[in-house]
Amino acid sequence: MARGTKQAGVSVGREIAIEAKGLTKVYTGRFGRNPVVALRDLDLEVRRGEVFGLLGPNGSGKTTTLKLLLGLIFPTSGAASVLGQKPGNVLVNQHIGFLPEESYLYQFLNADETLDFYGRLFRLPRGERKKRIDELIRMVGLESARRRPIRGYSKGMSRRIGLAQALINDPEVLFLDEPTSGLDPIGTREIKDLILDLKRRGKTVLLSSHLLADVEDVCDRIAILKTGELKVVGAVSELLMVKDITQIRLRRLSPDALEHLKAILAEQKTEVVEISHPRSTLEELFLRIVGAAPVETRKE
Amino acid sequence: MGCQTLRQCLRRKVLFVLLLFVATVFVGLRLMPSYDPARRLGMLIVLCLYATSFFGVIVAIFLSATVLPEDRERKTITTVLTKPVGRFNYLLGRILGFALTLGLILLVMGVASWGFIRWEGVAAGRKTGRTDLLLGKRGIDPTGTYLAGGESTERDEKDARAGVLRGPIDRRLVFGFRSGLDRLSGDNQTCEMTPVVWTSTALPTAHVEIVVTNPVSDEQMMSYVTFDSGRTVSVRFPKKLIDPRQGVEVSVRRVQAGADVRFSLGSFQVMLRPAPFEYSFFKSLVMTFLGLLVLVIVSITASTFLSSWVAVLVAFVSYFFAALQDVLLDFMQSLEGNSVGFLGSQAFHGHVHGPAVAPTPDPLYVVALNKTFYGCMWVVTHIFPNFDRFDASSFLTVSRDVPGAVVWTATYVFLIYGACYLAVGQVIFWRREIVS
Repeated sequence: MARGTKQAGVSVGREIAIEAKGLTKVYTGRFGRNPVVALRDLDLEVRRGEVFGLLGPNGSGKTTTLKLLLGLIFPTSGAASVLGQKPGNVLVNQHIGFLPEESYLYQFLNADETLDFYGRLFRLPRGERKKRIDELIRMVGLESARRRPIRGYSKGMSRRIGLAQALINDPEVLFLDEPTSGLDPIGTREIKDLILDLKRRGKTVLLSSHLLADVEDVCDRIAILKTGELKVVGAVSELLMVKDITQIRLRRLSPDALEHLKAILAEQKTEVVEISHPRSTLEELFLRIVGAAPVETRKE
Repeated sequence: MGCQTLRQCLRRKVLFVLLLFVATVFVGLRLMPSYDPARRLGMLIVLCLYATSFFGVIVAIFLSATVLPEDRERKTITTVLTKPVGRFNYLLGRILGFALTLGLILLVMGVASWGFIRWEGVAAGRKTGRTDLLLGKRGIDPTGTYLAGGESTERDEKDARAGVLRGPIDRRLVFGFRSGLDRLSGDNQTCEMTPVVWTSTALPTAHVEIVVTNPVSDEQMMSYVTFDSGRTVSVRFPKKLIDPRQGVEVSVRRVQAGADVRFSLGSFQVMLRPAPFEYSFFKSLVMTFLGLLVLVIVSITASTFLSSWVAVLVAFVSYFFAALQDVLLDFMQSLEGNSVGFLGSQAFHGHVHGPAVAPTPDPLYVVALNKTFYGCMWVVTHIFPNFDRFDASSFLTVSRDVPGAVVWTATYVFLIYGACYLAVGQVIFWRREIVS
């Protein structure tokens, strides 16, 4: 296993960014209630620079996994590490960003104050903090609402400012819990583009979601959890590949050529499953129609 | 985290409490009987200090006991604790923020109180003709005079007792002054003598050497003073020349040969000049502030594992026991002297008239209950700090300086109890899961 450079005790360049071994979490039942096994014996490795998706229905243990990896709760058994350190370590937190399931932010602050507060927690110098706040506010499209208290924000706007706070320290590892929930298709697309951009910049992203299309679009690898157990893990392309069907996509095929092709395939005794025109997705159609409008003119 | 907490408190409109404070004092002032200006002023000082303390307690408990549970319930804590902020730093930052908030509130209340007291003080001064009602001077008692230096006759000794100095020029008249620890424990800034000297010769002035000596450390201050006959002159010297137990000695010697002088004994006094009232008032506010900080730490510690309203309740109960420490301690002492304890057959029956009857021994369960009760009382009186340690109103109302030792005691109590409660809070919060 390749080991990278060490920054103040944290292995930033380590090949494995996040690791879980036999991670188990049991919520003990109080007052005679039965204990709940939220996560059972999870083994997981997230490589540096990849976008990893945690998939699963409600109650499958996705958020529990994230909380364990963030040090907000403690495992009943097993161990986890982030950037080579125990979760919750202050040194680790210096290099991570977290967007919770809903943007749990101080409602009395406005966007500027929120980012300034979180920037201060990272001890960013004043000048750098101001520059970073301007960049992030612009990036999430909240320039005109930056002085408005967050309590007046729509859900989509809250998600945007939540994402901005997660990025305030330009993190090496980003934990995103349902990053696109509450966002309209354009916002969803922007978040997905942002995740891909982070990936291009070598950042590691661990996202949990139950929106399969979102995960499929951005993740390199996924793990599927069900009732706290890991059911499958692997690269998206491999897991989704239907190996016994071959797809040929051609542009402007004439009817004669198509008939000729069918004849050849019949000669080869190959079963033709489907011959059709590909369809665009509803998301692509929506983006073509309304995507040109600037973010702030849309009603959130 | 500290600045964030301050901002959070201010956005919760906590400063409205200042309006309530001003209204309370104003109404209290209006309702106060107006027959005795000095007494009225004392009552106003008590009112201001108690109102400051009351509103401070309300703010301290309601803010600090609710903020952490609120952070947990609204899950804002998840975004904070995933930043490079240790859990101890989170608690410490919150405490610092509340310290800033309470400091700001106490500062404003203090200024408002000072305004009210000054206003009333000036009004009282107009009525009584005195302007230094806020804190009065106090004297150190004279113990006697004797002659030193040269041969002295019986007549000389008699002269000395009358304050007369004549004969050889090297003869000194020594005035002794007794001190009491309590009188010197205040932060009086300087000491002062205002003797009157009468010259018995045709000379209208007398040149006198005055030496003030600490009888224990032998530190001295020497000064030469020219007295106009029958007029007073103020001589000041530092407090360190007075020994807390042995007092101070002041010896006087004539500089001019042949000039007999007589010191007016009644006027020859050592006076302690008190520090300004504002200084004592400020010290009283500092003590209140320290008490409130202990309360903040108790509330935050309770809120690390309790919901907000239960934490508020626990904080109020803690304050109740802390404020009643002296009463509880007195009660415990009375139990110690009572062989039958709290629940015994003879307890609270008072004196039994008639022939003495040997008390019947109590059943074992009563003895056990007594011991349990006593143990509980012991715990209560030890786990909560005595809040009387943070109350300086008793000094201000009788126009006395707040002694430095009292402020230091309050500081020690704050440091010890604050550190203990913070350690308990950290132990609980360190492994507390952010589940909800």
